[in-house]
Amino acid sequence: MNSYKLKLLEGIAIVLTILLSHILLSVPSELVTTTASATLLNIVFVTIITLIFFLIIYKLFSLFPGCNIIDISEFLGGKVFKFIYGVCYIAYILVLSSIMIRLFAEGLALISFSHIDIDFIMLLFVIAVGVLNIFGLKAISRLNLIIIPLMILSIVFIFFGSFGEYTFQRVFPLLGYGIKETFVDGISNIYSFSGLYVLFFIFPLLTKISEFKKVGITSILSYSFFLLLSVAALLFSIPQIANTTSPISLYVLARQITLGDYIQSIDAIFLLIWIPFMLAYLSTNIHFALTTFKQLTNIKYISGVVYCFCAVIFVIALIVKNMPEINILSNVVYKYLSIGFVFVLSLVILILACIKKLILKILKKEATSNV
Amino acid sequence: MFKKMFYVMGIIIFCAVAFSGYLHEQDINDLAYVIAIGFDIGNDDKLKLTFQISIPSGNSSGSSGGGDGSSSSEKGVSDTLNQTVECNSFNSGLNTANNIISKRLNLSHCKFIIFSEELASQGISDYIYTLENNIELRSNCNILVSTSTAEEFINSSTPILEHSTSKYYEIITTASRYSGYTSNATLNTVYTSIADDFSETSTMLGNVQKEEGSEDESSSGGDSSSEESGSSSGGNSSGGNSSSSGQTSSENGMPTDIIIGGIAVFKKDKLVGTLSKEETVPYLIVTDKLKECVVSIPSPFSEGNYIDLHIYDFSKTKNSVKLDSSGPQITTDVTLKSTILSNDFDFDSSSKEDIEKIISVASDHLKNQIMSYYEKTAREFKSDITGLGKYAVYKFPTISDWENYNWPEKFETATFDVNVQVNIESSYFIS
Repeated sequence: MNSYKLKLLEGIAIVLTILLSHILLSVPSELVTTTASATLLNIVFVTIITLIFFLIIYKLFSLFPGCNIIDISEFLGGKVFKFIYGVCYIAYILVLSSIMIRLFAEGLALISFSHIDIDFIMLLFVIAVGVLNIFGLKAISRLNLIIIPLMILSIVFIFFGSFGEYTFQRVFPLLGYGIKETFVDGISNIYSFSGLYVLFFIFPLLTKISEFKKVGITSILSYSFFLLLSVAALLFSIPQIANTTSPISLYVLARQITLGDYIQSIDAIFLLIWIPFMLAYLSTNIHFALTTFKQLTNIKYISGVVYCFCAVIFVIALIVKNMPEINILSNVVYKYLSIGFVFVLSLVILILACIKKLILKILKKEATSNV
Repeated sequence: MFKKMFYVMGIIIFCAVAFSGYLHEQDINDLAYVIAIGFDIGNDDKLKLTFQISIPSGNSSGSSGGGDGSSSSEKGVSDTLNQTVECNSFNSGLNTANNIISKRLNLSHCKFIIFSEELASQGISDYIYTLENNIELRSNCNILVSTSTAEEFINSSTPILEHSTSKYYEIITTASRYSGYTSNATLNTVYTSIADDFSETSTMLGNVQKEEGSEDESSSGGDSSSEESGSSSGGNSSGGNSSSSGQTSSENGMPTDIIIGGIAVFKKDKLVGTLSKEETVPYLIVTDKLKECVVSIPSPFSEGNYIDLHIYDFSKTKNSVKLDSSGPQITTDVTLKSTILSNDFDFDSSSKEDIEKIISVASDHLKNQIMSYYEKTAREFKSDITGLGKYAVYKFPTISDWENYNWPEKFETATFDVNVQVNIESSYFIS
């Protein structure tokens, strides 16, 4: 399953697929709600922190060539720790996928499929994702390569298409709720970069290890740029007080785009792009959950597990009853779970593993010098 | 390979069946397309909704029908059916209308949303938020306040120069581009300006035109049933009409046509006043929305005569706000390009002195118009529909500082300094 190696562009496309899904769903409106008119400033600040975070993990990862975070956890705490940490990671990915699929299905039901049961919409996604995962990383990677340019095009188009509705002064007051709220409390907005968890797995999948840095930096900077575009479009178009709670915040902008007097409603074109994009996103997510599962269990044929994971995602997504619960899941549970899991726990494991490696190295040196 | 093909085909067929409306609930034959919605206050403070529904071409001439407590009338050349229902809320009214018409009303082609003056003065934010949340309604749907009832307005909107009422609605809004007598307001702009804290809401103003002799020309709140009227008085009233909304009177009191001109001024979501067509020109100039218009200025060469200028925006209007203890000091610098339309023997268009005299009078005239517009909006309406707050907001570092300053209250005490520079360019083809 993991025999296929990713080239530079494929690597960037996979990371961007995971990251851009946040832009599509409620993250831009959630960021505007948290930091109001200072959101653009906050995103620049959070991007700098994320870049520093990436450079740290890049340095730490370079001590473990060919390893992903699960291998490193085994090195740090043995098989039991690896198992616990791996199971937690799988659970995180599955819960994350469930939240996303539910949010997107809610959005679709609201926009276009009001007469179709939401369970049915989710079921379609889950089946398609399961089938795609049977074909493995190569198929997922190719889908990502096709869909990412379209997704980027849709974001750029929405930004320029909404230009007529902009009131640029909505970026003021520049510091929003205040310096503390923007730069201290606002650090929590780093969760919008939580899709970077994929970097912990992608290291051994790249054809050249040296490309890891390029993949990371290019993905972070381009994601940050598109996040800025989306948030700017939302901020300039809609007053902060009335900001959207729509499950698909970009749709609110897409809906108001008109091209002259003749083409007045082009939102369906965006949905046509976003549906396969969500498929690509969910497939990529499940792929990494499967990779982790394979590492934990040494199972030979993973295809049977694909449907189990799909079923788990479907069931978790069904547990949520209504929009308030979804909002709590996406704005609170997902936010703090992501910060804790991706940015804190993984970094701590990496740092501890490096310390252990250095200690072992020193001990080994001492032992050889004693001999 | 076969296995892969099988999976791919399976997904495609499954999606095609699932997403194509398997219950045929959205069959086009089951839908009736609404082109305008009217909001009035009904009996017992209920909501009275009027839906103007497009009749597909090929069907017979339209009529107006009533639902619960509704009115009915017929118009000989109408391609629309007007349905009025009384209800507690917009969505329940829509549901009632669905039931009466026995087709599902679809709002995706709605061009106009009309609020009666009476309802607008009670507040429209609840309706605007509800409409903005309706996925079928487009955000570029026009919003209008009618000095007569919305039902009367809709019943009177029969196109003379157009076959389709829907097309008629599209065209009447474009008139503001060259007349400068109203400013388009869409669902989206009204929604955002209600929520914004540095500008207030304004919408188009309309009324029902009646022929001369009518006692009550605006007839708001009156009996809204309309009767057969085969003709319309056609064109809009002249720019010289000084009435607040540009309406004219009628012979028998019966509505004949609709007129759109002027602006309805809101404070937050409540209607607080109206601006006439002439007062709309300065609004368009200071908000930088003016495309072109014709302005009559007093002739400096012979008393009682007027010179017509065709003015169009030359460069962006520069607004700036200075804040001090006495209140905001607002400066507006306007530069306009114009051509002389009047051709008479009082002046020589090739004479530099004569042109400079006209420029001076035109600049003073427009300056006075803008000043009186500012005075009216700030002192009388206490409503910053120009959105001058956005030129002040950047002076505040945080939202709490801005909120504590309380711009809507300070705007009432603002002082204004207006500078107008009119440049006259080429004038006559022949002289």
